[in-house]
Amino acid sequence: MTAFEERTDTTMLLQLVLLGLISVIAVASATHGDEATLWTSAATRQVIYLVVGVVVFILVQRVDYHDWAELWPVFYGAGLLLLAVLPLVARPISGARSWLELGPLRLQPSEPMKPVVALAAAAFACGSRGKLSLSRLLALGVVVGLPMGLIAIQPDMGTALTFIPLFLGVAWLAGIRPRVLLSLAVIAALAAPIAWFVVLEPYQKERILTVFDPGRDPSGTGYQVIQSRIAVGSGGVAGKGLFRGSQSRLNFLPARQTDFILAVLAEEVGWIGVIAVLSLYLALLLRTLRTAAIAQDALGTFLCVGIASIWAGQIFINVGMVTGILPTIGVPLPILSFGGSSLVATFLAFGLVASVRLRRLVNA
Amino acid sequence: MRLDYRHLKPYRDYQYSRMLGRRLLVLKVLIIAGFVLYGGVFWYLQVVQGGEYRRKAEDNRLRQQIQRPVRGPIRDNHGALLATNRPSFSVRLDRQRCEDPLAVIDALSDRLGVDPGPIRELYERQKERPRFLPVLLMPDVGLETAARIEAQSLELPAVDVVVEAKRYYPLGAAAAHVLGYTGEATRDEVRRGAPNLLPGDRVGRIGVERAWDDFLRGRHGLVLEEVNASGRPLMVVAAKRPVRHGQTLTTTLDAAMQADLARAFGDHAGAAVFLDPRSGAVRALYSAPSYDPNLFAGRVSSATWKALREDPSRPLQNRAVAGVYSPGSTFKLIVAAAALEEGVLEPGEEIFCGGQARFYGQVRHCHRRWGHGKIGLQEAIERSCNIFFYTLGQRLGIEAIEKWSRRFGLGSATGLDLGGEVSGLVPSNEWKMRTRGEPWFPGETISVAIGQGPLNVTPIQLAVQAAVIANGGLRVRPFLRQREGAAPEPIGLSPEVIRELTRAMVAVVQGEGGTAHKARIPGVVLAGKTGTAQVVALDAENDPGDHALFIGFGPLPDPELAWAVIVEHGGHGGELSAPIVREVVRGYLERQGRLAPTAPRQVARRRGDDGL
Repeated sequence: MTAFEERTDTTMLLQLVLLGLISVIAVASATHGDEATLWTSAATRQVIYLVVGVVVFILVQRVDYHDWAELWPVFYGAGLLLLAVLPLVARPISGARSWLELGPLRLQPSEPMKPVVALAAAAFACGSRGKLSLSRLLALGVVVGLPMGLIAIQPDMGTALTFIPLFLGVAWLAGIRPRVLLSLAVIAALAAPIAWFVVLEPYQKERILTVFDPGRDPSGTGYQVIQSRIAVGSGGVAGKGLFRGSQSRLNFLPARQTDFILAVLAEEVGWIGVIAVLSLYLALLLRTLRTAAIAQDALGTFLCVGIASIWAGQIFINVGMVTGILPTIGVPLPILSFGGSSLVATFLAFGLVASVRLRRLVNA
Repeated sequence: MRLDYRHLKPYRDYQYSRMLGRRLLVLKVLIIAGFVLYGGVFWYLQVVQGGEYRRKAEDNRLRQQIQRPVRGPIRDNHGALLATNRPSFSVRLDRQRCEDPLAVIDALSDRLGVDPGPIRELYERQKERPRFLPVLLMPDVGLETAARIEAQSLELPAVDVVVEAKRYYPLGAAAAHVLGYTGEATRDEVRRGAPNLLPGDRVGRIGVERAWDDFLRGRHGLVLEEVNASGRPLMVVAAKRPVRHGQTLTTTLDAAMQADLARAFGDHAGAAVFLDPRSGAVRALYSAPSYDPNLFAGRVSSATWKALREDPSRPLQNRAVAGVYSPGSTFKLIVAAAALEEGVLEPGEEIFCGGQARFYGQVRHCHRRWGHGKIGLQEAIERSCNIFFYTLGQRLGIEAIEKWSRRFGLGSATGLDLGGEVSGLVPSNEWKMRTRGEPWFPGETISVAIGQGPLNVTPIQLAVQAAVIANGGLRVRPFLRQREGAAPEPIGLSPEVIRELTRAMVAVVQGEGGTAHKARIPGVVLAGKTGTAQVVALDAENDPGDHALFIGFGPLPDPELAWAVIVEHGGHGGELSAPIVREVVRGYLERQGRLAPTAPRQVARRRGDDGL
């Protein structure tokens, strides 16, 4: 073992970088033909984000996760503050005040907030020792719910929704009783009609209805889903070949380099390629869960489960969108979708997982 | 609650460890199940339904593009162009290359010094179309305007000049009815003509353009293009069906003769047909008043169309094939032939004309009040004696007259490959029973014998009638497309009868006091018969005057042309119609070098400008 290998979870880094390289190719294909120079092209920018991500990953995992956990109130507080002032300072971009613009840089604070909240939830819940009291459950709900609410009012429903798996995953591990879980489900079911009539905007309702009947507005709300399904389906077993997907190349598929990047891949590399990408994600998540199982203490276990929950949820929602079995709610596919905030936040999160893994032996 | 994270105890509680392990396993199973589920969803979409989605992707990507055929030109029998395609320049705006279309329109009209109003109006009507489609700003501008715009293309970068093929008829109004024109296919025609006819295709509307439309039109080609999501074509993927351009239609027409004929007609209404009596090949076919078929080359303004349609002189009607006229004295040729062939008139027999006579209890007059005296067939035709022919009519009866009329080609369409032909009317006992419910009275035959009464003919029928005498007794089927002629049919005229008729017809033109002496050309022998078709005046003051007819053939001894000319309200007999024939025949012979050229002139004087 080299010194680097001793101090780095190279397997996980390899999984992440592999996904990152696939992303660069997919983004290059999706933006092929866009007017851009080599240095301003999306693929080049994605490469830069990837390099930043790798650096962040290596640095984060070198620090003991206990040290990170000790600082959780600082990160959490700063994050909440940022999210709270965002609606006041941010310029709306496609209807949402989600981005902080610092010169040419555009940051999405809700992305780094994901690992921060995972850290906070883990720190908060790890002392439960298998008995989750109602007050602790409620407190956990507040810790997760506060940033989620702030993100929801941006409005960025997609990102907000990814906090629900975090809450459920951490609560589950903390020992939530199935009866309480069932009660939550009943409450959610009862709240659904209220949400439908009070909270949801008409366009959101349209998107939900489109899942059941994509043909209801083929050139409007249904267009994205229909074109995405055509892209996916027409890829067949082996795909049309890289850079040769007509749905993507001829602009039929909107948001193709961001939320719908998997549709581009599905079209160009087919079912085999999709399975390869999904397997990589599965391997990453299983390694995270394995890390949770072998962590030296409950904090490590909870941290890994929180991160696994968020990212698994995000992947499931995104793939559901692309295949048209879930409404289109604007959730990017981690690492693969073009975008720096999401990519770096993902590397950061799994850096924390790696930190847990590297310190699994108590006497190390 | 404050935890010291640095000194959290490792798991020592066995129960707690087991519970964590169980719950982690549940999470693991859930995640694996999720991925397996999605693997299945992708399998379903990509493998099970893959073919269907591939088809949909192709539908998205590919578009059929129509390549329109170029319509075939129409030529005369010497190869001169009668209908062709001229380049038409239209000015278009590419909105993808400009910010403010209205500003560009203003700049364009400013530079050309034209009113921006119509351009703006045209733009407003098209602005809802997809942006990548160019907008038509000025249809069919002249070459000069096109050149000026091209020269300023740097200042007007979004403005393009596009060349298209437009139908052009060099003879203009002179050949409007015979050539016809084209128009955009109606929705109904497209439905019936599918799949060879598509919206936007042009089809022949009337005339040769319509009669030979399939031949001239060709067939559009189809290419498969790849388009992007906004519909912009990127490349041709495959040619599905090659375009087949229209073929050249060579007609029997003589462009110069057609032009001479139209010029000779001047402002008069009427119609004329010139054909080759040997074959039936139509050399010239004119109907007046005429219109400029070039008006129909693009979109016809509704005002133009309305004006043409509602013009009381009916310029859109082709009088040469659809105008019905009373044959007047030209019919006497048929009565004479019938009388000789049926044996009711002995060769050389003379009949007394005292200026009037009683037939079936009714007194009939000759147009010469004091009569022609004892008169033979020759003189009777030359002088158009009515009493002589009343007598022949009385001897023949309506059935013999009907039989011979039909043999000469009256009473049914001649079969000219032009369409729109009417059959005219030859009366009979059967016809009268059918239409009036009463038998034919012998007294009615008397009027028919001089070409009056219920007898209707078209100019093309009269031309065929003249051709029968000219070619020695063969009824020809007139035709317009080269090589369309049918074998002429002998109608059973003996050579003696033809000689007799021809001699009389020569006298009509060449003889002292012949009614068609105005057709005379020194050194050329023509034969003919004039007629005056009575037009019933609605009131005495507004009598429009009778129609003048002249049919005939020439030059003798081997006639190359047979004709029928009708000048509506042209007064008596050959007064206006004969000079038209003279000009046309003279031009024909001059072009062949058989006659010394003279300056062409307009024969029929313009109405109302005698002073000029």
